[in-house]
Amino acid sequence: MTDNDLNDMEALAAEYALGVLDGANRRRAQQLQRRNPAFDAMVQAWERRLAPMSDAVSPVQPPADLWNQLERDLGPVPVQRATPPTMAVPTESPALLKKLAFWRRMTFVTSGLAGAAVAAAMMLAVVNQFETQGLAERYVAVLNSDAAEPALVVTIDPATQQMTIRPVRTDTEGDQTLQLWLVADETPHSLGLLDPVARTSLAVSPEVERALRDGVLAVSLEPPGGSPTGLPTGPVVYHGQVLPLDE
Amino acid sequence: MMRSRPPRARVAFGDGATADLADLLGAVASADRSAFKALYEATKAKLFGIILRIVYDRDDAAEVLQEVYLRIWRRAADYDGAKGTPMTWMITIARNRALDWRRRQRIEVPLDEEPWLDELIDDSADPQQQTIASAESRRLAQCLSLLDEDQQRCLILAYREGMTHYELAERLERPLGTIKSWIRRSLGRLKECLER
Repeated sequence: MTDNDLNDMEALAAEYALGVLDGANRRRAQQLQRRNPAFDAMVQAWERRLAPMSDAVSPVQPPADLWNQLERDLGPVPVQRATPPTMAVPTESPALLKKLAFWRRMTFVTSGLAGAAVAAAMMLAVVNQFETQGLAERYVAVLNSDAAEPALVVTIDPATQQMTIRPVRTDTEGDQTLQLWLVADETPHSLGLLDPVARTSLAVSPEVERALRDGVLAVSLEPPGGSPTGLPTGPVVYHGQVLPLDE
Repeated sequence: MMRSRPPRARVAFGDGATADLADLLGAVASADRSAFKALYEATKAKLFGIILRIVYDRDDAAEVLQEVYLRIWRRAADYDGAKGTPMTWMITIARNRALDWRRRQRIEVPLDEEPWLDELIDDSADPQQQTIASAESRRLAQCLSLLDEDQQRCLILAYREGMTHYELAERLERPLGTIKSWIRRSLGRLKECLER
């Protein structure tokens, strides 16, 4: 030990700011940063210390059409007060359509082993629950992150017109909220806001239930109160295909 | 896929530019789209350069850049001038998004590509190109130069290319434990030197 050795917490803050941590340790540091203001302050101090290292990075022009995509993602210029999210007015969102193709591919990609195991366990619990209750038609979806880690398990019970969303592991920052979307006919419809840690129950109208059968569910990060535009404004963080339980 | 080496030209963000960027960010916080466009034009090439080195692929880097600006748009009100320059704030967002992306994709760094190591070390070669905050930049370069060459390389490869301990161990052909203790010790020495 010498005088200038960092203690463990500061070493983690410094390594996180440097960007040297692998995925799992990086996520751990991010969680700590959200919970622990002292750690957050250390990270910020290290970000400032190291920032001049970016000086020597040469600028590179990004693709010319990026601004147009970005502007579309901002949504329409608001002319009135934001309305609470309900069934959105369908409008085209090219960035979202691009992502949709990606979700559809992702849905059929095998998850990571750990992720698959957790998802399988959750599914089994869900199936058992339905079997005990002896319900007729029901649907489930496991919503995964891009890293194929299950984040939310959704069950839809047409008999009670209820949809239940159970968090497995979700990740939000500050006052961000999670908003659930049904993507049917390539258009996102808001189903409501989710509690990131506790179970959320949402009412499902017969119309929504029909659309759900072949739909994709997606969750985006939104400002408090949900998307002000009626379309996802934040990144899509979780997504998954709705599947009938009986097939 | 081979990436081409970006040109050496740099964009200066001296003190004057910093004041302008802070004004723009303030306007962006009140949802001023023309200010956002101006901010984008002023900073996009720098942020794209930073992201490109970490994610390697141009299309992926463009996607990350788009996420970064959406975040800047939504979070502009969180910017606190007391805690650093607008450029530092935006660079932190860009690096964090790029690093998250890279960790998700588990990008393999092609071992035959020589990373861009020389640029910080020979910064003194073109004093006209001093950027974010020249004094801080020179101070960091001085403190880095006190470290062993391998330790400097570790810090620069981690910061600029987003390499993990494990990737550094492979790249520098050293045991993982050695790399971990190098990094931790050099960060300690760096802090001590910067606070002197």
